[in-house]
Amino acid sequence: MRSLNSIGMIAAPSLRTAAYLQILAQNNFVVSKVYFFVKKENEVTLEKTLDIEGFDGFLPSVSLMNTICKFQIPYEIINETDMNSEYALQFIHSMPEGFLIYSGYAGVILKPALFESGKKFIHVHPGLLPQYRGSTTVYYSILKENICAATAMFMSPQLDAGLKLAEETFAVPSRNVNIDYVFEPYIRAKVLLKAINIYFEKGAFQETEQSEKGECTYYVIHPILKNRALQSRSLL
Amino acid sequence: MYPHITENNLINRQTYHYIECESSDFFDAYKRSRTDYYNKHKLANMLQVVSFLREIETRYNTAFFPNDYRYVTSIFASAISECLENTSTCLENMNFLVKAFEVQKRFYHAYKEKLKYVDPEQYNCIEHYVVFSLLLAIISIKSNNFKYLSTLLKINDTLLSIQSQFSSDIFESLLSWSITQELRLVNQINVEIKE
Repeated sequence: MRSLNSIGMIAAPSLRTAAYLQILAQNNFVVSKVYFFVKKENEVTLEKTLDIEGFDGFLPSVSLMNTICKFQIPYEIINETDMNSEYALQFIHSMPEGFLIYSGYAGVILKPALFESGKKFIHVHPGLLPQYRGSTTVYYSILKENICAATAMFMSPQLDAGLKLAEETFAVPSRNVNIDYVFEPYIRAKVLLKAINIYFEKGAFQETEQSEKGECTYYVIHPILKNRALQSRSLL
Repeated sequence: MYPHITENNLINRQTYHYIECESSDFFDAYKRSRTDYYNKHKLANMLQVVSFLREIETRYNTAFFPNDYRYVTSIFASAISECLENTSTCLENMNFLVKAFEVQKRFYHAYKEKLKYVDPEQYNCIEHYVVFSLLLAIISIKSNNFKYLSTLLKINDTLLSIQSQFSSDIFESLLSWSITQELRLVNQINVEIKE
């Protein structure tokens, strides 16, 4: 296993975190430590599994704790769920890692104070940037271009506007793959892996500015458009 | 069952998060919610839509603004101009309105800065929601951008939920026009799916 000493992970107990840990471990990468932001009484969620079909090595039926134990990934439970709290800010400030993969709770916008902590937060957004900023972009991208995509970037106070580290487009999966629970976490994990591979090979992340042209910010897609995007997929 | 038209979406604000929506029953129920409405009401034509918007633009532009707040009527006047001018490529005011509606699912009568409203009780001007629906339909047709079509579907859910409060017949025929355009754009995606 290749240990990523300067890279930690801030994590909610989610399928995205599961995909990140599984795909990185399958490619022999282990982060320095995973910091689970979860209330003590909810630690049981680390054992949770989802009984749905996986995709290309990502298995939602394998719990976070199972992956942690199998690959001996160091972890710590932080008894807090609000990433913007004073306690979280102090804690993140004290972490030894300079880079933190962000796999926190969905829909949370980090306050500017976190970006003043000196840490670099790595986030993987499910869409090309700057064309697909905002929410549920995987569905907008299917409707507009019949592709899915993800971009790894350093987070910045402005939404989805940070320096890009890696990006990739993917074919839209067939109807037997769940997009929300399986495919979207999977493509994010694959692009995270791509950024980590570059970091490991070159000793630094390769940062690229986002283009100033073609920016579009999307909001939560209406369920009818989501229905159309889902229906557009092949039955194979 | 189409669940996004409540007794009043301005009060029961819809988040549209994590909805199970893959079934054809869901899509059929949506279509019924639209066809039921426009089958019962007179349909405005494009000329009437533009004429209505120009009248609103003039009225909102001449409104008196007593202080430095950002009044939604003033934003609407500029947004109408942005959407109706063929040469306009900047949709700054329209995009502000989209953001305001997407975040708060309401339009407040004035904002202090960004989306901080002046009076939390003043969000019930139905005319604003009708104008917004028309502008979104126009810009969706012009731009073919699903961002605007998504918001159009949401504002029309909202208008259908408060249709009993419409004070004028013209609102009904304008909403019929907007819904017709919305359904045509959604059906266009169906055609592309079949191809």
